[in-house]
Amino acid sequence: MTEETIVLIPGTETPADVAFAGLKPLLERDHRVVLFDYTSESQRDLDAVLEGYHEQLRVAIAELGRPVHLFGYSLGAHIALRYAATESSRVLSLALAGGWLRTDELQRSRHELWLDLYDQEPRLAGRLSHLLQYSPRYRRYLAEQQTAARLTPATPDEEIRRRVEINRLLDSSRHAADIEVPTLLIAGTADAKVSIEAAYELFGTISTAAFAPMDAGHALLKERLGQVYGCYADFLRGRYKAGQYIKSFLP
Amino acid sequence: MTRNIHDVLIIGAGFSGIALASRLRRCGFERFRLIDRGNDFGGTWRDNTYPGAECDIQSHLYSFSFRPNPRWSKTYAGQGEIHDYLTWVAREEGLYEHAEFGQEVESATWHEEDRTWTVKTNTATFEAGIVIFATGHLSDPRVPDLPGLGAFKGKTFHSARWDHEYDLDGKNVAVVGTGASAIQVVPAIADRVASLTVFQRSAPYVIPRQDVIYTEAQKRMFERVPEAAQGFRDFLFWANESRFPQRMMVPEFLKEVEAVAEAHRRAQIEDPVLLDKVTPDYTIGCKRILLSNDWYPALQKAHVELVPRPVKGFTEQAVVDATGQSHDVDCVIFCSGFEASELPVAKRIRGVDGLRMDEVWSRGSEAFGGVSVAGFPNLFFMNGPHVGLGAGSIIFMIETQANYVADAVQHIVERKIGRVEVRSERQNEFVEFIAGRATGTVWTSGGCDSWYLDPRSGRLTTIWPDMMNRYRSDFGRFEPDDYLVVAEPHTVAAGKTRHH
Ligand SMILES: Cc1cc2nc3c(=O)[nH]c(=O)nc-3n(C[C@H](O)[C@H](O)[C@H](O)COP(=O)(O)OP(=O)(O)OC[C@H]3O[C@@H](n4cnc5c(N)ncnc54)[C@H](O)[C@@H]3O)c2cc1C
Repeated sequence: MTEETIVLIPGTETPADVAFAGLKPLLERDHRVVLFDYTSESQRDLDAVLEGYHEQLRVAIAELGRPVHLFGYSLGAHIALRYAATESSRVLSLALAGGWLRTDELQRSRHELWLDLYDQEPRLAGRLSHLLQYSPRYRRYLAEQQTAARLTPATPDEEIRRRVEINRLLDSSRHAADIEVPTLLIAGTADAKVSIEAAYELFGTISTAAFAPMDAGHALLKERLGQVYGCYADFLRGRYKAGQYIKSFLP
Repeated sequence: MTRNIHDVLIIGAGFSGIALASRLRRCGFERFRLIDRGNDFGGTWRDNTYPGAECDIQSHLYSFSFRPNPRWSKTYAGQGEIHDYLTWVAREEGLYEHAEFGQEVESATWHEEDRTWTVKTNTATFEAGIVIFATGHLSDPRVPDLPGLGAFKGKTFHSARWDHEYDLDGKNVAVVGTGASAIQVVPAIADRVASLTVFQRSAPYVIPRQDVIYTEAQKRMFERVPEAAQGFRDFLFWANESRFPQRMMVPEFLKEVEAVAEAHRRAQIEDPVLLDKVTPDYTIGCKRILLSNDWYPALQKAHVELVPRPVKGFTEQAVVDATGQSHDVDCVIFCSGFEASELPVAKRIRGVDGLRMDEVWSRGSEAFGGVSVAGFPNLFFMNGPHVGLGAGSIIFMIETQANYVADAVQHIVERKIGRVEVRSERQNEFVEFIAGRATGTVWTSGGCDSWYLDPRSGRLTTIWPDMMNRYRSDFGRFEPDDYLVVAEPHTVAAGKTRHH
């Protein structure tokens, strides 16, 4: 049992304790796990907001005082990526779930619609995001689960609004090209928020990456918790090679 | 006595034996024999013919990945349909030619000198280089040894050995137990009997059963679009994996499923006394969570009584409960489960130096990866220790083991290896791993007394206390390095016979 530390970084809309409610206890059986939440102040410009998130991560990892495994989800993937590119000596490995290289036209138009809705009524923006969060198959079969949980959209706040603004303009190309640590990319083949093509692009850019596509939407940790955990656990055990395209078994 | 010599002998013709035999044949390996004490393929699903017997994992998942059945009649198929499916698979996979029925294994003994197993049944002796026990976990009915049972004048039988000759109509019937079989039996027979008394030692958690009867159009869809069936199967598999944190007692996950069970109870029961009786007193998931829409309604019928106490004994015409109260009945049906914490075959297996498996396992079953045991070379288990599931289809574990064992068999036979025995240090590490993973789970900390724990050591020996995909990751293939290997071939295949 290794006592290495994993830092989990959530995405735009969900705090770390909720986003990683399942993943954290699973990982904690073998590792120390730290949840990282980030926040911003209202008056700052967008560059300063993003820089602020990075600074918070730098401080958090400095406080831990040892190199860590970074796991970032969605927007959190960009934050993790940038840290790993700039502070590689403090990073043991990098895992990006639901990440992308740079925001494309389709994503941008979704963010713009989201912002318009938010200005009208934040609840509507929450509903748009929720609608696109899950794969159609997952939504279709959800009721067939023996203990089917209800999915309810959340109402976003100003912090989330700022993050959506940031999402609109993200470009991690430069940082992705600089990554040297072992990297795992987890992508949903039915992700309506981040196209699988965007994930391929990331795979092409990060030379050290192994790539694990999963039949899921953006809600990877909800739809495929077991697959994400299993794949990540195997990655941490050094089972994958740079450039590997990881094929899942059919159950 | 006839004598039979084989490279490989598989004992058990249920899901496990069928999975392994199919795998071997699909790999082009034909030199095996498969025996079973029953009269056909099917195992559990041949033997459990009680009224209401159905699976409780969706049939599109509770079936072989390599033989999908687009024509399941409903979400949870009944016993007859599952048995038909298994015999169909056995036929399609060409297994009948390899099988012999009516062979009850009485002993299996390892011979070091020629590195073979001698397996004696009620009618024959088999010799084999490798034996596989696919004899099941829930195959030997358990009837509690209670005072007065012999004196009871009425009819008794176990749910897994249902007496279809006996006419229940108009009888006063007792059902002992409220587990997976009882909650299917009780609603199925309630309307036929004069009275029904159900004895409950501890209340099960029950959640709704969303059982859909598939239309012809849906069946045709699954036939025409195999990807649709596979997609549904994938969904169900990963949905079960997502439930694993419930078993780790992660509060958010526990609350979710507890709420489902509680809402189900309250929706179906108004009587506060009954509600109290059926409310479990342990953490959900500690025992199997049951699915039923008609269990609580059945308990509320005027002629049905739930006695929330265990049975203490019997008189000539009555069941006596723990408070000493007698309940007159004509018939007692034991839904009391199976000999499950230890494999019943353990006492029939003798390994190196004549060591008996049940003696080696005096503190609970232990097997590396659930498949092999130090001191018992060239022997593998399927669906044995450590691989039972709290939420999921055991077929996934069984198929994983079938691949592993088929891999091992080919490795051994192709290289003409005489003897493989798991390294005891690897086995110990594995047992340690299981103990570590079991810590803090609902099975060890949930406050229930379940058959998952070995009664002698209190250790979790029957359950895989991790996600299923982790088992596939670790035991998806045979790793020779985990074994001590002696390269000289066994002599059975060469045609040498031993004289007794
Ligand atoms: C009523 C019931 C419902 C179930 N529903 C589900 C479900 O929905 N989902 C799920 O995952 N699991 C379920 N199970 C568990 C079930 O046991 C397994 O899913 C599966 O059927 C086990 O297959 P097996 O081949 O390993 O064992 P079995 O089906 O038990 O087969 C073992 C075979 O070995 C033979 N055998 C045993 N001892 C000897 C001997 N000494 N000599 C010769 N032959 C021997 C037996 O005759 C039997 O044919 C259920 C079990 C029961 C009893």
